Amino acid sequence: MVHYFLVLFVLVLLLLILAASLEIGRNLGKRHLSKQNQQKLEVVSVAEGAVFGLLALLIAFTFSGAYERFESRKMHLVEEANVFDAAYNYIDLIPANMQPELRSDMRSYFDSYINAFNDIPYMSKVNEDLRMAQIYEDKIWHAVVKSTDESTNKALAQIYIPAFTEMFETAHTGYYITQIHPPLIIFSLLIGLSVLGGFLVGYNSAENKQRYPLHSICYVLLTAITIYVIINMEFPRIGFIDLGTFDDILLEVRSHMV
Amino acid sequence: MIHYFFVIFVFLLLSGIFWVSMVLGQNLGLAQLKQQAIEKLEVVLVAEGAVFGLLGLLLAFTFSGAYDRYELRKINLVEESYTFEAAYNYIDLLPANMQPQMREDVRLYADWYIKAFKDIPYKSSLRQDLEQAQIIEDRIWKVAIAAAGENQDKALAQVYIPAFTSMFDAAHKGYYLTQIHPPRIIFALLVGLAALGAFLVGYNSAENKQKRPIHSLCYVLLTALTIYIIINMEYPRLGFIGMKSFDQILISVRNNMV
Repeated sequence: MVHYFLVLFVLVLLLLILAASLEIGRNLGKRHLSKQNQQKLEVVSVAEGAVFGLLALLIAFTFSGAYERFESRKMHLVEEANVFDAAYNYIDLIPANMQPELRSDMRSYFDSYINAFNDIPYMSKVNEDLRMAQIYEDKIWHAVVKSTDESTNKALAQIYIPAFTEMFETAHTGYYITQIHPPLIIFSLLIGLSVLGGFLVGYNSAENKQRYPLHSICYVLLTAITIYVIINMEFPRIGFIDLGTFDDILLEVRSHMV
Repeated sequence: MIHYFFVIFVFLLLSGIFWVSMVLGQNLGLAQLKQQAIEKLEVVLVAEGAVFGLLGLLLAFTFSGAYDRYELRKINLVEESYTFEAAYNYIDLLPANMQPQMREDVRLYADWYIKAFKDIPYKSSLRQDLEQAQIIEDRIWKVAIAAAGENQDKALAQVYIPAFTSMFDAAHKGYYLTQIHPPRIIFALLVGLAALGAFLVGYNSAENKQKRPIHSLCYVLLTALTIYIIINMEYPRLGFIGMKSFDQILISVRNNMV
């Protein structure tokens, strides 16, 4: 629950930082106006255009990147569901006396991964889930290798062994891709540029009589909310954007594992 | 049929929201002109540029994402039809006594998936189709495993068992792909930003003598239409952008299963 407050806090913090930069810019602009005793501020439009052009492009590309990663996580869950399903089916090819235990281990292995996804903000729990998953993975692998000795015809083993290896790889990747994010410096750049933009907006607005012109407020709201949505998409299991339907696919596959 | 009306309603709703935002903005602008007894509104041009620049880019990236997903669904339909065709052909490798039942089951399996695509707007029918497909899938799998047991030469099983698994995977993936969409917050952000843009357009238009300047109307229509098309591409089976030509590939493959 605490991570929801953390995510909300990020939005409030962004709004405050941008509002502060706006205010500082405005004060500086006012000071320049009164010092030089003029009505209009001197503005280098081309530099201004470059700053805002870069900011808009940077936000748009980070947004698009975050969304692509979000989608690849979903696509990977689809793949994961399929390989777990296939590997569980392939147990039918293993000698009958080994099947019940292997099925039970597969279910536990799958459960450990589902738990790891659910526990993601809490890293100590996640590590414990992954440790359990590794124990089951080793057990499954030993049983699979042993089954090739017992099986009279090795041709079948050629079908099911790669399926188990693929399942292990997909499960590992599924966890690893939750850890792939842009470097921290990108977020710092994004916030830094937005603050700079806020500062320039504030500076330009010093000519206005209104203390908080509508356009400046729009700038603060729009930039803060967009960056907030980007951060939420980057960390979907922590914030308000989740992978709901797609986690349900895993649960559905799990419910077939009887 | 009802979902077509729903989709039209979305367009009307979007146009309505932007229209209202524009009118509200215009009223605010008029009130300020009157209150301050001035002819020209004070506008922070740089903030305005940033807001519309960002809005344009966000719309463009969401549009591009929706189109990519639409293409991906089409490509998967092609892949799906290949795997159905291959699996159906591989039935020839099964022991002859098992073939007629297996052919019947694969035909049924394809039928349920084709029906599921048609039923996508109707959740309860869709669920029923998928449940039926799962029952048939389990049956196909059991027969495939039994066939591997009966076959003297297990090398043949190495060919057809993975083909059936691929068919199941492609069928599941085809359905899952219909469920991949951006999180709702993205649509909310897009509609919210566009409404904010409409508000600013309305505010700026308060200086004009015309009550509803043509440029403002163009903004409302263009933004509503673009977001409407994005939503239609995200949910192609609900709206007017269908996938008929690609569904037809799957239907043709099914018709060849004799």
